[in-house]
Amino acid sequence: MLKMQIRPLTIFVAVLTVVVLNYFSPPTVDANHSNLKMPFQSGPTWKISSGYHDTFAHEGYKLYSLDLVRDDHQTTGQNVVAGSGGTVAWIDATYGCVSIDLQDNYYLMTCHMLGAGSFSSGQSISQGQVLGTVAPAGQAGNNGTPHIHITLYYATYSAAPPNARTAIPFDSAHGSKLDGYDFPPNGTVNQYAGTTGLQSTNGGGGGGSDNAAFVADVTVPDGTTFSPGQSFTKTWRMRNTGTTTWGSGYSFAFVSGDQMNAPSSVSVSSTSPNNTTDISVNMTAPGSAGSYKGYWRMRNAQGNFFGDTVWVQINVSAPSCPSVSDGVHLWDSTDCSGSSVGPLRPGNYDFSSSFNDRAKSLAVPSGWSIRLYKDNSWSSPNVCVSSTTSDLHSYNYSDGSTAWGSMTWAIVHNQSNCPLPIPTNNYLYLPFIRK
Amino acid sequence: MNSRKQLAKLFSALISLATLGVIVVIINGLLAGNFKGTIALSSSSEPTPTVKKLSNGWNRHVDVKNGFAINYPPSWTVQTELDKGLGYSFQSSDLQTDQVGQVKSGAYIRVTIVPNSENTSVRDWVAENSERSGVKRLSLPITANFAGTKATVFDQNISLLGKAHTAVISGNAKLFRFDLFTADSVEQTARSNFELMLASLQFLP
Repeated sequence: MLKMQIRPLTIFVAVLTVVVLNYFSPPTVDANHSNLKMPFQSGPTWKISSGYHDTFAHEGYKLYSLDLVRDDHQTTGQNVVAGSGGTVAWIDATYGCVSIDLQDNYYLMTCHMLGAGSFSSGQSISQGQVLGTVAPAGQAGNNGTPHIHITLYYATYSAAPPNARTAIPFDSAHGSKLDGYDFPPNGTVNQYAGTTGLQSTNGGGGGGSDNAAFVADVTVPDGTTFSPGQSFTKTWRMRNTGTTTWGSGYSFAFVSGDQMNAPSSVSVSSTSPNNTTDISVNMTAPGSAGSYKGYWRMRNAQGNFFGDTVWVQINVSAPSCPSVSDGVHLWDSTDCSGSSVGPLRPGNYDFSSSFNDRAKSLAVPSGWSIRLYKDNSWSSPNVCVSSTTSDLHSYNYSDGSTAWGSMTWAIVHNQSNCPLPIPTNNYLYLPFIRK
Repeated sequence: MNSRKQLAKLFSALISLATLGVIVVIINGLLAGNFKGTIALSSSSEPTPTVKKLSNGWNRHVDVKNGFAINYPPSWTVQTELDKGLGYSFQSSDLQTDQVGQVKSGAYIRVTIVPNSENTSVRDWVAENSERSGVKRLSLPITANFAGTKATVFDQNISLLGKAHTAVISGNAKLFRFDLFTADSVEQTARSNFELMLASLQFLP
């Protein structure tokens, strides 16, 4: 009887012990997730702008996430580097995320950077490798303050959230301190937010040897206005504030924003420490009215960005076609500029000898219209224009060709939409050209 | 002879125990392959949430420990995520998310239970937490009545998760937050289910 009571009890205890130990024992600690480093390079200090369990943003498998910004607020455009080696598990270009498989069922997710889309699943990553640059506000999921988001999570298989992953803190208890910093969780909301002075040992800055500081806008100060498509040269004056000499291998490169038809990088002339150099980039103003801004930064031979992020900010003026009431006016350049003809009163016009294939923009009085003919025939391809247009590229003839710089005959109506029938008289006015 | 028999019995018992232990480890390992890392619903000293099938096909989730009960649609399931800074996740059977967490098909409703011993008002709590880095409010909060008390309802964009339709309500010295994440294709149905769920919310004494 005693034996019968002991054996089930022994078995139960043994089974329970196995289950409990197996279930609650932490996942194996190995070299990968126990050697995590900051996702930014050595140099200036950073702070935690949003900590563990930040309401809404850091919950679920992102419970123990950290958002990082630079203490000096120069976060946008900074290099984002791999906090650990491994292979790319997945990327999300929309949110600028790269998740690195640490090969031990742990994954390090780094988000909100430009350049994440250049990686692919399975690609090998080394610790300290540049993954991209911090996206400006409004890009790559960076709501408001530009920052780097990092999450360490554990998953036994590669299923998607919301349920398949477990958040892991950056702390000694899990063997996952971050660059030597121990961040154990205590359950409070937004824990560690506001922690400043974080330093990285994750390569890059090489002890601050490469550095650059903005000195002045030599040309094109912020807010300069250009016409659509106008070419210009932007020149910045930069000071070498590092200990290396710029020259071969160094470049000044586009980071983000509006590139404005500029090359992705330009070479930099030899510049020794504490000296300045002027760096020029040829650009073209975009074709639409608005405000445009592009960010640029120094880059060394290893491809690492360094120093101040600088920008070019311009305004593109709206096309300036006048409001007319005395008749239709034509111009031989876009934006109602260049030589013009008009006012054209209602009637049929032949431009074959004076303005042939030159009309590129036009102004139409309210309630009027003009039918453009491609050739000197009423049966040639034609199109009706009922409103002022700064660029006739937006109109195509019935054969699909553009009306821009391709008009020989025209009919001006003092009614909209070029009413039919087409006038049968062939009396054609010869327009007068104004220079 | 007698002692040899006893020795044989003991050896047999040890073999049985070892075999059983191996089987348990294998089964547990298989289970862990799917669920390791999630935490059990509650400790043994706490009442486990129960689910009751309703006559209309919906389910009633009753959580005595946290003091609330709520219905959820037929074919939906409930996951406990107390370990993840959340309470529960009610999920449609066709729920799929991408790697970041954006819903690609179906819908889910997260229920987050926040202790509120200081009796912070819902309005103040929402004001403090719903417009910050990583969270962008998409609509002005409006007031609705659920479970006999006022809830604050608004839309927001949560970094890395996407658009959420959120309701926050106070009860039993806690704040209950409901976030609906849905694929665009089923948003209308999901919002309807969301309202029906909230209409069924009851705080337990």
